[in-house]
This record gives sequence, structure tokens and C-alpha cells, in this order.
Amino acid sequence: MTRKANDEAKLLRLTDALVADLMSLTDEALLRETTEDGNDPEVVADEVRAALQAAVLREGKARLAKARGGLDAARTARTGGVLLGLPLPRKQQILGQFAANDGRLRERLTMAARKGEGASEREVDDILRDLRDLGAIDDEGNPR
Amino acid sequence: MSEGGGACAYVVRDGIGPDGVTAAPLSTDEVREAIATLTTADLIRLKRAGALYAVGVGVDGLEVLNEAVRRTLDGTRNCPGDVSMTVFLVNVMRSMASSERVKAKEEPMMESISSTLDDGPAVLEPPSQRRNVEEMRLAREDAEGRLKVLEDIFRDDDDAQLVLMGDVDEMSADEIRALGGWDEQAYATIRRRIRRKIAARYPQGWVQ
Repeated sequence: MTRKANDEAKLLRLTDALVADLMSLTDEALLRETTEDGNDPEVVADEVRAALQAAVLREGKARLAKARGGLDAARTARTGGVLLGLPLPRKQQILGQFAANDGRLRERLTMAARKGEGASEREVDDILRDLRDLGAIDDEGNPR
Repeated sequence: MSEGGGACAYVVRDGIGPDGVTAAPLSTDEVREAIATLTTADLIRLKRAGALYAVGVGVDGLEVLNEAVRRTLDGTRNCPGDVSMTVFLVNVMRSMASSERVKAKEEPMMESISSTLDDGPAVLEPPSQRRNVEEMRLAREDAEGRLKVLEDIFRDDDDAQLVLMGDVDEMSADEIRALGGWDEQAYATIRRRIRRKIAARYPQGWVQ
């Protein structure tokens, strides 16, 4: 058991030695070696470049998603817990009042309804936030 | 450096760069910029180092490199401004391979039931990131198997066998050279023969 565990340490030591040798090569020697091994250095480099660009892109998207999550949370906090904390039937009632006189809002609710059995609470919250940001309702959902 | 420069001043360590690093870490934009400006030789070097260190991580070489890049971009690892991106990424990959080995030496942690409050609900704690018993067994067998494969690859090359033996026994380059009676040039030639033969056998890393 101990001998086998040591095998991993031995393998890492060997790898360190091989990498140290690789790093000691000059650029010219490395490119020449790559060619001698039957590979086109530019083709090999392009493959790595593409992989790294994809990694950078993925990380950028993850960073963006995280930032967006933070923004949503801040927006929710700013909008006020009172409005979004109302019971769903009350929220729907508020929207219903506006939808009766607002064709675009009615259309938006209809679109959401088409996707499911009705607008999701998240969709309802989004619309309430918009109404509040526009100054159409106050923090408690009352028309202004 | 003898052929016009380009060799990387490289120090193997679990840390992030050469000793004495004091420069401020690169920002995410600077890391992106440094990655975008890697040369053809840098990229080949990184691919090969990834393939070598993949042996301790269990994925292919480019995946090891990608993970090193991810850790650098998201700030898990900070690249000092006075360290070349190539050297830094090689050290991150080395650190990943090393920590996999360290995990193997730790006792396995099993799932356990606990609660954060005395009267709170019991929760099943997920297994830790450390390897479980089966993974440890496989890793050990894997390492043992790979060392045997190396013995096979260099069965007819006594010089290579001697250098490999010195490497795994942590002998210095001077000690190995003395053991074989080689000058620096002869020793470097043997070492490069070993590396190239392994690279030819496992071009994507030792995961096959």
C-alpha cells in the first residue's frame, strides 16, 4: 500500500523533471523539435489557442451570469420587499387592473400565458417592477 | 537561452511563480491580454506541459490547461505581474497535479449525517472533494501501472533507465550525471530523448 502510494509521488517527481527539461528548451529548439516529430507548430498552436479562447469565453460568460445575478438581487432589494412580497393573487389583481386599460401589458400577459398556464410569479414580478420603475404604482402596488 | 532566447526561467513549486515574487497580480483584463498574446512556442510548451501533468489529474492535457486558465481568470490563482503567463500556467498545472497526489495520501472522508443545530434537521453532508477509497485505489494502481509502462518503453535504453531511476529517487542532475559519467550535453540529450519518447507515446497526456 505504501509502495503504491509512493508511486504517485515518484510519477510527479518524474513529471517535474520532464517539464523542467521542456521549459529549458529555447523557442527555436522547441519549434524544431515539434517539426521533427512530424507536427506543424502553427497547427499545434492554433489548436491550443482555440481551446484557450473557448476557456476565456466560458469564464467571461460565467462572470457575466454572476454579475447579472447580483444585479437582479440588487434590483429586487431596491424595488422593495413589500411589492414583491405581496401574495400572488394580489399581484395578479394589480396587473389585471392595468391590463384592462393597457393593450401592451395585456399582450405581454397573454404571451406569458401561452408559455404555460399563466404568467409565472417571476414574470408577474418583472412586470410589477417595471410598473413601479415607471412610477405607475407605489411600493404597495397602489396606482399613482 | 543558448539559441537566441525563449527558454522559460522556470522554478517548480506548488506556489505561483519564481521565488521572490513581489509584483502585484494581474487584473482579469491583463490575464486575458497575456493569454491572447502567447506565442506559438508558448502555446506548444503549455500543451506539452499539460499533457505531462495530466498524469496526476486524470483528464487530457488540454483540459488541465483550460482549468489552469479558468482558475487564473476567476482569481482562484493570481498571476504576479513579473511572472510570464507561460511559467505561471505551468506552475498552476503542477499545483493541480500535486494536490491530486496529496488528496490520495489523505484518509478517505465518507458521507456523514449531521445537523448544524441541536434540534435542526439532520442533513446528509456531501462527500468531500477528497478522493474516496475506490478512487484512491485506482489512482495508486494507475501510478504503479504507468511506472511499469515507462520501464517497458525504455527497456532497451539503459541510459534512459538510469536517468529515470535518478528522477524518481529525487537525485539532483549532478548526482545523476555522476552516476552515469555523462557531461551536461550528454545528460541533456538523454533527458530530451526520454521526454520526446513519452510525448510520442502519449501526445494528449497520460490518460489513454
